Amino acid sequence: MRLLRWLERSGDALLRLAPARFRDAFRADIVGTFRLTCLAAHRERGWPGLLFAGMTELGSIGSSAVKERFGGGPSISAGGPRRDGERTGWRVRIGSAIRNDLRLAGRSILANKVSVSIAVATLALGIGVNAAVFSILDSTIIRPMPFAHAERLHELWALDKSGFSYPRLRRPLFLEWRKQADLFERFEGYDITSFTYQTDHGADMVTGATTTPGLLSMLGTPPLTGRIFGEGDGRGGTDALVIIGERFWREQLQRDPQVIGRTITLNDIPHTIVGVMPRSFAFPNDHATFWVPYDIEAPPANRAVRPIALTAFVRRPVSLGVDALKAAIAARGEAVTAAAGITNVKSAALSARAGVFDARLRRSLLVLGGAVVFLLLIVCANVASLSLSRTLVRARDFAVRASLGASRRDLIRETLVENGLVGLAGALGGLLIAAATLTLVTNSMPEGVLIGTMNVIDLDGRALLFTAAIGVITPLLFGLAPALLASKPAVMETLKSDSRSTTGSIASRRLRNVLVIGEVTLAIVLLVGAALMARSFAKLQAVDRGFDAAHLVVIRVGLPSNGYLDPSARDRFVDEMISRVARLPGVTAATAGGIPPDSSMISFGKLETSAAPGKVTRELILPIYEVWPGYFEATGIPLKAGRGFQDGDPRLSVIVSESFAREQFPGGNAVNSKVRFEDGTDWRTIIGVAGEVRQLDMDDKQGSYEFYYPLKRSADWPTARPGGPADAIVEYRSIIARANDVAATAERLRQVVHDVDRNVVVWKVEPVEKAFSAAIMRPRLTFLMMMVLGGLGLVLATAGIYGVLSYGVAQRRREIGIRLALGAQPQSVGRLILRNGLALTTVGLGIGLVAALALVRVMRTLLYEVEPTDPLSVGGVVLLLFATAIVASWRPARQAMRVNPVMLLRE
Amino acid sequence: MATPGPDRRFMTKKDPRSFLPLTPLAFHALLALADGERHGYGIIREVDERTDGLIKLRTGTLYTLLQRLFDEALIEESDSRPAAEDDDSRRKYYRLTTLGRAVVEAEARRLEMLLGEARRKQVLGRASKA
Repeated sequence: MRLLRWLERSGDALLRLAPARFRDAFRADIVGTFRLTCLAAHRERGWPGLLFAGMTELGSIGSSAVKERFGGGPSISAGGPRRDGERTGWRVRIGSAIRNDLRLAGRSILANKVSVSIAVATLALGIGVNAAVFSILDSTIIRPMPFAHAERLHELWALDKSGFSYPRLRRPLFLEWRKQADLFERFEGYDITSFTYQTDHGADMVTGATTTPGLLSMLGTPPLTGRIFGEGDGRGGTDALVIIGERFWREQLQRDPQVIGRTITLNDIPHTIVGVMPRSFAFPNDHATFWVPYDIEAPPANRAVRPIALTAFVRRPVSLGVDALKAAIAARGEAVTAAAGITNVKSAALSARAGVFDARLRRSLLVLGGAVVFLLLIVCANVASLSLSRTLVRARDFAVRASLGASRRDLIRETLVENGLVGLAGALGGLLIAAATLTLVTNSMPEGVLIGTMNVIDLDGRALLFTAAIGVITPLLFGLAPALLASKPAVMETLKSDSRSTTGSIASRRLRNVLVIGEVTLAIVLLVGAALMARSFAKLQAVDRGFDAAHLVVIRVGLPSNGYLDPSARDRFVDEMISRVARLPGVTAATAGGIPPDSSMISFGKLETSAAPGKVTRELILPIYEVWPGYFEATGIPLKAGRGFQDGDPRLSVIVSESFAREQFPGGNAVNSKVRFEDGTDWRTIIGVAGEVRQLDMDDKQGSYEFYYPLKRSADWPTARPGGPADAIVEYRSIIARANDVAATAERLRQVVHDVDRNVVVWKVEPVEKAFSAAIMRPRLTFLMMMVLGGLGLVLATAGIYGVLSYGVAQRRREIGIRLALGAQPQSVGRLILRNGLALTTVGLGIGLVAALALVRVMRTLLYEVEPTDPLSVGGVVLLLFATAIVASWRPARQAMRVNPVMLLRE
Repeated sequence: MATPGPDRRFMTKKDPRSFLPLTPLAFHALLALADGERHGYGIIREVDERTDGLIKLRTGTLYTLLQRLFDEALIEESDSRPAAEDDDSRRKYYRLTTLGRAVVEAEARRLEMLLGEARRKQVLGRASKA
């Protein structure tokens, strides 16, 4: 009976349209009657009947309410004058005025079907793309996190000595900070965790989060069903609980209504489901489908795996401002860290917002936002010129009506109502386009782009409001100028002059000129942006990677803690894999280890070398790859000096990249030198120098400083690696194969893994080439969208310039005819029109270039080896627009040349 | 008793015939109240059943009509409630005022006269057959 309740509420809402007197007298009674009518329909004809009757009755209530307010509605007597004499006041007048305006607007729209449909389609496109991009921007950048007191939620990150911050705090540090109760109203934590989920067809990897029991209650999102975690959860005996996401409930458990209490197996441990979170709960990211409790104060002792560190998610007290809290953390940081007995961390710092996009993505989204606004403005200019020509044709009609007593206000209002209707239709169409665009974009977006938001990206109320707002504002923008112009009180002049002979009033000509200049200006800004992105993307794709990735395929596997807690077992597994993979048909070499672009880890810091003891380098970002003996031979990454890893190489050996060797050892004596981090870690001996591998990351302008560490254990390794496993998987390892047929080998690799050990989880199998193109997915996405927007802008601007110019020619036909009759050559008339169009374009280009060069500077960080003032891009765009202007002016000029003066003068 | 609209019962007596002819909707609504008070839904049902579904009053139409009838003081809200089991405190009951009864009677007479004319002219066939 939810439908019935909804109907009742709608009916009640509709009654608000009625005057208070009517509402006060009948509201409850009407709702009651409505309800009884609906119930009767349901009894007789079931749900369809209820729906039909409900909608009919709603329509009746709505229209009656409006009639009651503005007059009309049923009368008692059929004969004689209307009896409701006291109701023909201002409300009735306004009501009939609105009806009248709508009727006139409808008539005008029907008379200009083509022009209006073009306007509506153009608007729908502009509004649709805008609403889609707005939804994305809104859910990613603008909207706060969808949690209680979102403005006071922060993450507390660890800060190391060189000023880098890390999200996760180790347990002692976490607990020590938690004691600072005066700084934090709530101090909770989470860790992104992957689980193996046992299904009928094998183990799946799924992601979720391990959370402190109070985290969910701090976020304040109520569960769909069941409960959230509370005090006492996540300890020994209460740790095998799980809250699942709505998607998992729907897709894997078929929305089982008895889901609470059901058991699912995660990481080989049966977990009891206690709650289901709604679809909108995207914490810590949109992929999370599981939340398990972990009480960090009293952690479960007997659990095989548990997080070693949590990201602190805190709520600051109302009384404490952000700056005050930051200052307090900075002041207390070192003491707290020392008290926790942690040495590799110096202090802590607030991260403004959890899970936020990185700066570059934010910037590219903002650039896209700017681009769609420009597109919308071009759309407005187009629609304005359409509306202008429509309105000017009716100038005579207006003049007649004005002389019959219509006021200027009436005429302006009519024009605005007409444009408003066009805007409304455009907004409705735009909504459809927006929904389609959004589906397209979210489906084609790489995971990394979506992962940064805790909001669900869809067309929600805010996006609808936004669409409605542009639907209202755009008609005002494009309708006001024509309306003002057409309603000029020069009644007598218009009546006296023959409309066919006018060359258009000076004002309307000026307006048309402004429109052309405006379109060119807007188009050039949009196109310069698009051209820069295109150039940048082309360069990005043409980058020489430093090795041939085309024949490499990598399989990444998770080794379960069950059986692989001993590191030498992991090495045995890798050896076994390599020998089996190498025997596969078509495989020419096999090895193991991290392969660009996926580094094993990234280190930050300053280095000290034996070439210059005591001196440290600047802060470096070092992607580190842990690799197997034979790695360089198999992958084809060239060795420039020294040798690759062999069995038995000491733990503290390293192979560095060529650019690093060149910079730090100008004498070329890198091999056998030593290098270590500034903070006094052990010296590593350089045994080789490898060719540079380009990451395709746009930050690699510094050159890339890859470090390769040995992965295979030798005798000098400590018995266990420091740190513990966070998940059921103790370690991920990658096996790499060089093969003639990458796709066929990729198929077989999975089988090889299961032949060696069925319990090993295959995380992903991927051609290395594909990983490279995934690495440039974000620039590709920005590039593609800019291309689409730029293309749309160009088409619309061309159509707009063409429309305005050819309308101008139509207006000047008589003038042109006279010129021709007086002996002007058709060619010179054509030149006149062409020159007119090109002159306007040139002005537009001038203004546009200045604006473009000022605006594209914000794109600097998005560009790869392309300056924002790139002459090729800017010059190309100028030429393109000029060519466009010639094309757009050409036909109008031809029209002018073909004017037959005799025919025209005879008319 | 909260009667919407100005209470005109104490104004100058109106001639029932000044309302004639009534619109079909108004006539049916008044006729529905001729044999006792009804609530809004009751009026809808009565009209529906009596006209065999030919005239379907919609909720919105009904209440704007009731508002007019109130304004002209043809109906008023009834104080007496029916048996408790069928009673809903939200529900209002309406009944004819004296004027309303006079109007519905006048309309019926007018129609009767018309009908008689039609019979005499044998528009409906022979009177005996009817």
